[in-house]
Amino acid sequence: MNSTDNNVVDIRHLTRRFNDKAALQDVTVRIPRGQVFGIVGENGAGKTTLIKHILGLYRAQHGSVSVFGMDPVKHPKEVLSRIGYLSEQPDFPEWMTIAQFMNYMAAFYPNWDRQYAAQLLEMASLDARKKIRELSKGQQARVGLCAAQAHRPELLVLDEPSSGLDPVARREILAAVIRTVVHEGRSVLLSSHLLEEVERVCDHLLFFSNGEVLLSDSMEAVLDRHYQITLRRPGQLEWQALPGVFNAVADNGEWQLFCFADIDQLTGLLQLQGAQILDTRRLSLNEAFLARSSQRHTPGRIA
Amino acid sequence: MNLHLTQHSGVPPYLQIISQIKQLIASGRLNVDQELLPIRVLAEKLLINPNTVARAYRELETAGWLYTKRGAGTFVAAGTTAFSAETCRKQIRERVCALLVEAAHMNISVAELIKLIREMGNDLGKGDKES
Amino acid sequence: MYASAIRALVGEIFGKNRAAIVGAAAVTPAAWMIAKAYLRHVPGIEPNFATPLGFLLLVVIAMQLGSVFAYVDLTAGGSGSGFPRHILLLPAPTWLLALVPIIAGSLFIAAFVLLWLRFVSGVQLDWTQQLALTVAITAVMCWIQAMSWELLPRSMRIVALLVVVIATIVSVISALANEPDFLLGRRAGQIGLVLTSSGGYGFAYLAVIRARRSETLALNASLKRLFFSPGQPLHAVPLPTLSTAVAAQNWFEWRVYGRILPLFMTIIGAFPLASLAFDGMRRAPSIALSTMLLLVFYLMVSPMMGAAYISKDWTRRVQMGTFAATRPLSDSELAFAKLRLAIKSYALSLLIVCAVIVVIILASRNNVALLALWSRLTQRLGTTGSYLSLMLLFAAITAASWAASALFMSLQLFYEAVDRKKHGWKISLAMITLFGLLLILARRAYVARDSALQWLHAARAEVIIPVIVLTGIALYLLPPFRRVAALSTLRALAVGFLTVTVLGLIGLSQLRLPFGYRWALSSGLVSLALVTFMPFLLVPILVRMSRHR
Repeated sequence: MNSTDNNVVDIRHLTRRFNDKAALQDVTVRIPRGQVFGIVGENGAGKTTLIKHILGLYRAQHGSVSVFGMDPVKHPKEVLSRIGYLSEQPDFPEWMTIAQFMNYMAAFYPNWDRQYAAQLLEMASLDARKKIRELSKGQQARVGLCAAQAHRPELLVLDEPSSGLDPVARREILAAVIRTVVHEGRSVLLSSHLLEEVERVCDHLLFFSNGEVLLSDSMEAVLDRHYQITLRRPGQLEWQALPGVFNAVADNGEWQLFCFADIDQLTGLLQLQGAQILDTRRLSLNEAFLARSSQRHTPGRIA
Repeated sequence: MNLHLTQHSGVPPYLQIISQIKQLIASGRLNVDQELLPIRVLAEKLLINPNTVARAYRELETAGWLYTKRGAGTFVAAGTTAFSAETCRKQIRERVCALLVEAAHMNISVAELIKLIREMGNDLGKGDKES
Repeated sequence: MYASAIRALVGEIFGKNRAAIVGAAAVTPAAWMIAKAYLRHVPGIEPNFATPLGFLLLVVIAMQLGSVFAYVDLTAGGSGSGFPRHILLLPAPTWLLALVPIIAGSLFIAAFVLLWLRFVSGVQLDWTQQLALTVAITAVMCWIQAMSWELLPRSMRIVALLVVVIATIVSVISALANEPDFLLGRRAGQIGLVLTSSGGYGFAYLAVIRARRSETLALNASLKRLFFSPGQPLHAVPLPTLSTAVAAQNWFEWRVYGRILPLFMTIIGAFPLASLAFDGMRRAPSIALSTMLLLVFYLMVSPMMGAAYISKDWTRRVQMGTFAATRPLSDSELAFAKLRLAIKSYALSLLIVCAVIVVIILASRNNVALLALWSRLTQRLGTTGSYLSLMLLFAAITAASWAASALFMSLQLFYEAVDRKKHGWKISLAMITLFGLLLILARRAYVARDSALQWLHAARAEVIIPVIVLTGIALYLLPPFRRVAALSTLRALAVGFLTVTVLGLIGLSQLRLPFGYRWALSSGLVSLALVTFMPFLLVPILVRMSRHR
């Protein structure tokens, strides 16, 4: 019972197939209370599928999903009323004015704070008399963001909210994330392509590829332990056997190793094997993502 | 307290905060016993995870740049208004190294470079006195 | 100088759509053969294309051909057989671009229709009648063209076209009828035809202008608002007080889907009302016909409505939108909001239909045909009995219409809930089987039409079996429904249904009917009650299925 108290989301061994194609493969994720949890991965990696499981829009085929200690499929009302959700392409009722929309949304959430909602709308400089249809994509996202925050949800779920938005709207999304965690210690689940944003705001990073979790670690560790090592060593390098090395490229007698490891230990090991370390460089999240994404396409791994 | 985080630099945000606060203290723009922005406020201002700010403050505190008063906030510590000799040396060494490579590339001799540095140092000294 | 442009256009149309044209023409012998095979076991009737069914087939084929000549085809979703758009870039004047496909299409279709009438149905028309028919087809062609752009949302276009087609048909019947004052009267019919065709050409011309500039019509927005987005002025809109989540969802459903059916029934009802203005109409027996048409329409649109209530915005057939699915409501609350909307919408529509019928009857106080019908009824059942049976009839029609709608709602939900790639062919197979069964049933009913009274009197197993089957299905559905919760709502509903059914049974027993009829009608009433009750069990289960895939 203790784990459900500390974890807002608790997903265990979740597998999901669509027509025999695995969208999620034995995924285990726990989102502790008060954290900003980032999900990154290529398109079609399974991010949205995972989020739809959390919202109860997908039924778990194998494994279990628990949100606030409840099954979101069995208790949609109880779970959804504590979640704020915004997706990349929100299908809002476009015929409503913003005022109607907020009025409509308010009825669903017992904790809806009308004053806070009005304040959020004002901050986003939106005219409540306008119809949602008449708004730009960025303005629509802002309306969605206001609606997702006004009931101070315990879990804010943002599914690629920034895609295709202008910098101002993107900034507001980041602000919403920070506001959510800073004040009440509520949790955020952020799926995004924009790695700089993820790097800025997330506590924990989940890296998805082809429905599998490639990496799940705290942002601190992800940033501190991803390195690129350039070394010179005669002969073949059995890099697959090295701890934490996930990709390697041979280039004119020099090797570029991409690793997720304790850098001092690894360089020590490499030097013992007779390698000459030319350079070690910390990888940014973007570079780490690219290096990890290309690892599946590297022929070296198959050999 | 004006901090700027740059993206695409490859430097993790908490390291950027640490170095910028150090710069602010070293350059005297943050005085001893002056209070720093609370973690939450700075996080909202920079749009960055509060834990990142907390980590930067924590590391600065263990390095002796800051001290915390329980319930009151985080303050600039006395006695560390300059970088430790070792860090200074390391930082400068890196930059000189880069400078030398560049100069060699542009066919500027080491003697010429030293002359240039001396001249500019004199200028900087004057400027300091005037201000 | 226009000759080459016309030749290019005509060549393009016939060249591109050769397969569709040949296919449409080939439907005739195929339909003949199928009808022959189907009617083999029915003694006394030969395939006769001079029947309404034959005319329906003709209209469907003609519509298909019409879409061949339109710039964009009307079959929703498809884009294959559309008019070649690059024609819009031809250096020809716009009026020609609009006119050539219309004239080519209407001449071709008119030739087809006239040949069909002459040789398949064996109907002889004189030259004025042939001309009127050609003009009517031209009118429809014009409107197809006008509708082909984003004048209206895709599925609304078909409805609008239907309205125009009805107007045209009414005009055509009036213009062609042997009696000079049938329906609108011959003169009014001719005027109507000229008006619809010239108005249609105007719209088609405007549409081509817009299409050449790749603009949509400005009319789009206003028409769309009329049908879909219950628009209100920006200023001073009092927000409804939505005290609970359920109230909010009810409000939402009503605003999105509620007014489609009442609006549609108003439009349909406007036709007979408008025809009251003509003196001939008030006296003609066609008054009863138009009243019947209204009721038939009310019944016919219900399956469409059921499907429409489920779609996200009716113009697109998509799965339950994420927004709807993420409302913090339980599955049964979502489902009941939908059902409540359907009931409200149906009740309002019924009121409109009743009002129209009452006005028609009042306006034609001295209508001999209606009075004769009524006196025959009172003779048989007595005055109270007549009123009672009329009420029962209306209730039955409403119930059947609602049930059809709700069951189609269920079907659409089911279709969305299942994995179409995996089970699609099974569903198609089931639908085809069901359709075949219905056809066979219709044939049997037709064969037994003369002995229907004896059949009812005998109260055979056919009447009771549906009751047993439906009760069985309802009992089978109960356990999965329980998982959806909201049992208290169901209990209240069940009590309500029971009360109405018992009242209906008492009403039936008051009618002066032989025992056999009473027995059979009671079984019918019970199965109708069960059919109307079923959606309350089905829809929540299906909402649950499509919400949590």
